[in-house]
Amino acid sequence: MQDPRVRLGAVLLLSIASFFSLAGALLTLFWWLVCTNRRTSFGSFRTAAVAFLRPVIAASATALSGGDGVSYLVRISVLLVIASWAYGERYPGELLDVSVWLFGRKWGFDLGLVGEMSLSSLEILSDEFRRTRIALQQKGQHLSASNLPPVITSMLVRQFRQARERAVILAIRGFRGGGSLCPSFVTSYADIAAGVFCAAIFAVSVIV
Amino acid sequence: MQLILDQITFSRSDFTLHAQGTFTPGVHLITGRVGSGKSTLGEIVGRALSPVSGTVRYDGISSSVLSMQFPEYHLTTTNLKDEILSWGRDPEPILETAGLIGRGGDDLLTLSRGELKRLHLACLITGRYDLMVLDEPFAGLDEEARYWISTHLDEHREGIIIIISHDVTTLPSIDQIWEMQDGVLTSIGHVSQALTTWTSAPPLIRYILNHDHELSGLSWHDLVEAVCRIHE
Repeated sequence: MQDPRVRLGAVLLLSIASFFSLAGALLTLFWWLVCTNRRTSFGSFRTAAVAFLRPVIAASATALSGGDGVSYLVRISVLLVIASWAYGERYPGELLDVSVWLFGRKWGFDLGLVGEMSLSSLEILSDEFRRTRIALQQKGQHLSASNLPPVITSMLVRQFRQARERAVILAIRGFRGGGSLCPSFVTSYADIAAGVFCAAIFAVSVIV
Repeated sequence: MQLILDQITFSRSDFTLHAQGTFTPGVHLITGRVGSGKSTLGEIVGRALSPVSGTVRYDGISSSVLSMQFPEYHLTTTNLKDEILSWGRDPEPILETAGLIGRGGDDLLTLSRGELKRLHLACLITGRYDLMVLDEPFAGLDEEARYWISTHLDEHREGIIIIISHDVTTLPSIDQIWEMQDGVLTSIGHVSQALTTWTSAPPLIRYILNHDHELSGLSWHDLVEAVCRIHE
């Protein structure tokens, strides 16, 4: 999917559809199978297993207490798949583009900038975590309860420092809010079809 | 003992890396422009990344270590003493070596990047490894610390040492030069023969070679002597 507007809109509508009904979740899964390249940001089976562990625990607890654990598990799992797909498909600057297109150069630019910086921080955190594991490996250690607090603290402090550096750079460049940006998008027929299908799923799940 | 890169490839977004070569005991310099893939190759060789295809063979190499470019990545404790202990080293000599005597109880986050780098490198290069990969070991260090590292590496030349650096001003004695160009690893050859045929040498080396044909190595001493000859 090339058009980030369709992708972000689809994430919003399909998340609502999946969350509110089992039918919506199943249709969303079908949509993901048919309309996307089925790529996700789950780099490995282990990553996926860790991501799905929490809904499995919550669903088990719900089922044991007499609730519909299966429905919960399916709906949350589909949400995770859609979120992971959207994250895996993103490209740098798309949030800024969509935000300016949607809300204009003042508030849209600021919102997009915050979104881009947040995503960039997530990527940096992910990379730093990978490198920390390398560091532990070199010392013949594994991530444990004893070294997790200093590792997390160190990563967070570095994030704060980086945020301050970014703020200084923005201030030096004279940023006071808003900015000029002319977003451009490539929309294929497949994107339009996927968007229409997605809107239909949303409508059906709301009606059902 | 040798490290063999057998038709290694690695891909990330639009970038693809290709590497082929054999690293024998001695000091190897991998140089190249920023973004050419040096650090990625270092991570592959240092067992932190797996290649997409090809194999890395560690013949006779039983211990290896990778020094990542930024020392912060290596921190797994809160204070200097614990960090040194986490490397299995004796704190006092390391603190002395790193110029941080009396600061064993200090929070690591209060150290500057240069101090952190000194501490990290002191922990690392005082260890014994068959393979040591140092990614930009001189970045963020003052001249004195750079000189100390180079001297230490010269005095403790054991196993295979790979230095990844685009800074060639304070190197120890280098045995072989490699270059990364747009993701492709090329062997320039053994120093000193390679120096005369190194067409893409960094500006400082090119300048010296253009004015002094007797440059025999890339160490700090070799460069200083060559520059002195130019002035004569």
